[in-house]
Amino acid sequence: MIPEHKFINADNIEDVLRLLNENDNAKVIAGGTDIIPGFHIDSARFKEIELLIDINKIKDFNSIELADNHLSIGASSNFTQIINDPNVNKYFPLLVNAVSQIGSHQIRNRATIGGNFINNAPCADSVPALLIYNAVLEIKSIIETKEIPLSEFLLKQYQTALNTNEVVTRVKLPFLNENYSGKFYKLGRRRGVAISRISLAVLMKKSNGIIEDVRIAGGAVTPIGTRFTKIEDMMKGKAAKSDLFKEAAQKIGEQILELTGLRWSSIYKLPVVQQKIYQLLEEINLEMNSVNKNEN
Amino acid sequence: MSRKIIKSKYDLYEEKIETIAEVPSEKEKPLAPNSKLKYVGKDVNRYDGYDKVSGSAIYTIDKVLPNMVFARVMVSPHPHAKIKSIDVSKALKLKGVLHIITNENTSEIPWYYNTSKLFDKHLRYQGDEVACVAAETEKIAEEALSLIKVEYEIMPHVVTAESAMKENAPKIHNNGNFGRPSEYTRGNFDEGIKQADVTIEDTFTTQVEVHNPTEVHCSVVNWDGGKLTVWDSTQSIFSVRDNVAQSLGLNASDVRVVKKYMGGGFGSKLEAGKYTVMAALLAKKIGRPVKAAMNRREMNLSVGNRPDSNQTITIGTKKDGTFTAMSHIAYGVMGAYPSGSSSYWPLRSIYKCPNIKIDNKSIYINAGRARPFRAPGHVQGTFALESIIDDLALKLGMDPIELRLKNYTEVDQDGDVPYTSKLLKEAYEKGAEEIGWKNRNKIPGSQTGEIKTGIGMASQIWWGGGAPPSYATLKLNSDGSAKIFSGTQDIGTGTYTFMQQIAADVLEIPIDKVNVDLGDTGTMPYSGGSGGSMTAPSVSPAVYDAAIQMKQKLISNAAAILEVDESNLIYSSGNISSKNDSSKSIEIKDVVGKIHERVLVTTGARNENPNGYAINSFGAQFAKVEVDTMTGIVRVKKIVAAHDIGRVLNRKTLENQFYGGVIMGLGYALMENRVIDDYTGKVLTTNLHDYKMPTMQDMPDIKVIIVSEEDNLISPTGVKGIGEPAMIPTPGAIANAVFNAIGVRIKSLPITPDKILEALNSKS
Amino acid sequence: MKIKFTLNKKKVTAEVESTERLIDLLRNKFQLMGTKEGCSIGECGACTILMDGKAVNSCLVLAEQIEGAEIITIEGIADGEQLHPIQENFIKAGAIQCGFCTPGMVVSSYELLNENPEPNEEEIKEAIAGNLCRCTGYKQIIDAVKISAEQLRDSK
Repeated sequence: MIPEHKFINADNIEDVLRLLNENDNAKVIAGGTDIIPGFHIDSARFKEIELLIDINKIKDFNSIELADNHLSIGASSNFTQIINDPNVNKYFPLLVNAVSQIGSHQIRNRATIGGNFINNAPCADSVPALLIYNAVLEIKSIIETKEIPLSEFLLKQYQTALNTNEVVTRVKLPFLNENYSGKFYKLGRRRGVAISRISLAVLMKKSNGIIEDVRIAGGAVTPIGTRFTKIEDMMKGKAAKSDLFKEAAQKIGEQILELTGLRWSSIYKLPVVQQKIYQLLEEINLEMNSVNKNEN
Repeated sequence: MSRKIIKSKYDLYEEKIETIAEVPSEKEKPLAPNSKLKYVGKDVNRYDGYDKVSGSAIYTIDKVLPNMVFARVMVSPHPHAKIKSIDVSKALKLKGVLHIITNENTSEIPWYYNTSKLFDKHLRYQGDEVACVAAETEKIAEEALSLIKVEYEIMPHVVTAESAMKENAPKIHNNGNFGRPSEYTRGNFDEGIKQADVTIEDTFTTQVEVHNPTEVHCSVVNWDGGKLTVWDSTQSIFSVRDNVAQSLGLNASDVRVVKKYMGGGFGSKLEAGKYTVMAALLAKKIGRPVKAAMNRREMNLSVGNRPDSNQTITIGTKKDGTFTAMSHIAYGVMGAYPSGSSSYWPLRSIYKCPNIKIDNKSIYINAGRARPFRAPGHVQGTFALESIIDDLALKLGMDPIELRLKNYTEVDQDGDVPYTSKLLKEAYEKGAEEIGWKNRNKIPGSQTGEIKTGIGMASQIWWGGGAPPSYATLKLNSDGSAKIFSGTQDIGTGTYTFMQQIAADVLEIPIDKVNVDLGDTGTMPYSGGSGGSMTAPSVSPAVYDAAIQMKQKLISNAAAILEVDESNLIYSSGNISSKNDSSKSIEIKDVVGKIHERVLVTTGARNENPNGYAINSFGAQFAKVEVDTMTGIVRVKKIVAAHDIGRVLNRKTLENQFYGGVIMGLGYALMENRVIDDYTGKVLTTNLHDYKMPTMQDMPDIKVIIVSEEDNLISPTGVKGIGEPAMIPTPGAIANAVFNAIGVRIKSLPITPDKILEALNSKS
Repeated sequence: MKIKFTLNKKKVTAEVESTERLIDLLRNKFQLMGTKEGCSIGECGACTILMDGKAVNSCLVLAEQIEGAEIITIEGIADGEQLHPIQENFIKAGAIQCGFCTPGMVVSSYELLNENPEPNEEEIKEAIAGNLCRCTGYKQIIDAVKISAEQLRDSK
């Protein structure tokens, strides 16, 4: 059952910021695909809501725009919009890959990119992709506009750095130089409309066989979506070779165990994650080699 | 046409069902083979198609009556508790609340075979009913539930069979946690084992599966003085009528149950719900119609499931594969109230074996009660039996099909009587050819590479021959249109359509002239519940008989009208004409037009089943799977379903049933699972996010091969039911294909990636 | 609050409560019973309708959120009594059993063919995977969409 609440169709960001500032128990709603089923199953996360501020009508919230050094995605852009956007496809294909596997078609027609990470659920599939693209969030309140990397925004399960008077307005993805290559992988409970048991995103850049940059992130395998920066650092500057990939996969497994502790699901997940990370690194490396060959 | 009254006997599991029935006294000439018919056996479109695609089909959940109010049931949040006190005063004060019933203001109405009551103070599972509120809107009723204050005495719970069987386990009923056992002996098992050269024994387990039909269980009730009308989402209008009448102390004739469309049941909607009776009690008190509907959470707690099983099977064989002895020792959970969980029947019946020992125990636990679920016992039993038979074949160095053929039986093993028909061999042949049986891994698991493919199969036996009593009334109007009435129900399986097809073929009139009304106990002749794959084989001969009688009646009337002797008249394409005098001819609509009532009526009956025969359906399914040995994910690539089901009535609806049965079997084999937290005793899978069912993307390529034609020993229409056979062998076939792919046996359903990887690790 | 929107091509107004979802509004206030409730949490697709041309679960939209929107339900897919080709092909392909999921299936198929007139089998499965069917086993639904795609292309 949907609890009684006040509802406002906001026309502009200023109104949203003002309302957030005036009401402690206000929540922004866009697609509603998390909040509404949450209401239905009586989820504790949505118990205290008194005011819903709908932002669907505000164009600034759902436009996807090219800027000088980044692509700026409105926080209430829905997944279908992102999947169909030529620039996201061109510059950030792993994000398209990730969000096109979220939920059902009906869900993707409503669910938004902001809504996917704003609650910091461990299985939010856009997060690993956004993390390896070094996504930065634009956050507004009545007082200020600030920017914060997604990796710092996500604190712990169902907790973020967002204050009650703030709203995430845009997700900014800095452009990469073109020598990057990457892959996204998702393993679900069934083929269609599956929630993730494992999601992984990997991005790599090489020069003369040496790894210049590598970025690895996982979802659903750690309490929150996580970048494995220590392991990335270990890999940088080394030759892109199977032994290194094995070592990296091994270490990521160890780090997951540290972060998560031993759970019944880790017995299954850990070896699969390790094997898959190794495989993704190998595949990316091979593809990059063959591209280089073709160019030569 | 002459009639007689018989005591009709029908076996379903151990139950010997006996009913008095009127049947045709002579054996009727059978319906012509499909090749000679215009509609039967063809791809005829559904009668109910327009209503369903346009959105105009009204299901019980859509039913709105003037002045109607809404009922919601409050259920126990605890797996095991006693109600110390209930305080409804605050809830009653809520604006819009009309009445609340609880154990305190309701007379004791026995429920669950007298082991409980409509409102029992002793709550034996999370979901047991505590109170029922009627209010102006569903939302108010729901809100009122939260205002009812109940003081519970929480009792220790037990939610697994293993713990419930322990001596010191909390008792769910006064006489303990064991239900009625199923025991059976044929020959002497111990002697049979002594004769064996090779024996094999293993234990298999299966999970609880929940029906989850898309339309929730619901009723709308309305009193008209002392008479009650119930619109119900049910598979069995007459059972609901009898249950409700008995509960309320009414004559069955004062209860009318109506069902036009219903959104799936799969066995969970064969009886009246407590909510139906509660709605009737509330409606009586308030004097207004009441709608009572479950929600999805309650659907996953309270309205039935397929019980789990732990089956230990032993088989002894000669070196050549001849079975000398088989045993099936098993237990399973039936939930908090009497039901059954046995799973031995496939082992008892499908292969030739002189020595059989069976001991199946049904265990009470603090969880929702089991109900029949698409081939109760057979799906889990077939998975275990067909798995161990493949293991045995490997041990004996035999082809799995060869081993099955070695133990093939042409006679029913219980009654020592022949089958009316059995084309299982043909199903093996055709199915094997279609799947490419010879391409399976001769050594299971021998493929190298990360993705391994495998092929496996499983066989199936079921009843589904139908039985009397089942009646259909046929009216022919003076505009040439016909209408069929029968107290059966179409639960989506195509009953409307095949009745239309048969009448149109017999009367040789265009199919769109035939209309069908089903599902009303108040106005229609009796037919049984739509379960057990019984509907088509029971109802089709009744409508056939009605149409044959109508034809005869038309000829007799035409003879009087045309003043020609009946024997000189020929019936053809809705015309009756004289053999000798072509000027003497009349269309059947004009026959009806000439008679005073302007309507002709006949009532047909299902024939008596033949004596000295067993009636069973048979089939084999073949699966091709891909197993990703890195992630443990199983993808079913193809299922071939080759079945002996008598005559095909309608190819489209037949395929519906087979595809649907196969995908349900696939869900059971790979993902569906009700999970209860042992510590809290609460169900963790109470919605369709947590209870996973297959989507369109999980669907394999499915090929349906029907190896049979009409079986005229059963009935003039020669039909066997298909709803249950379609699902029975699927999980077994998938399990055997997985074994063929990876070379390790997964003995527990569902076959999840975790289990695959664990098995692969233990192998290496 | 009072809202205005377009329902099956007609402009309508409605007084809605904050506790109402779009599915409640359609079924209870407008008595459009073709939109079915299966799971209430966006998992089964039985309540699928078109909102501004996009297939969405009407159980996951608050009634307040549809101000100004164009809503089409299963009742708005046919032209009066004349069924849409997709509906006709559901009948022809035998894509229906109990029929409870059928309206949602038809609406999802309708959106798919509007957006992608030549879907391959994988695209069909992907687009309609959010509609659960417990009866039919899906195969004939895919067939119905395939025939409809051809037919709609030919008629253009």
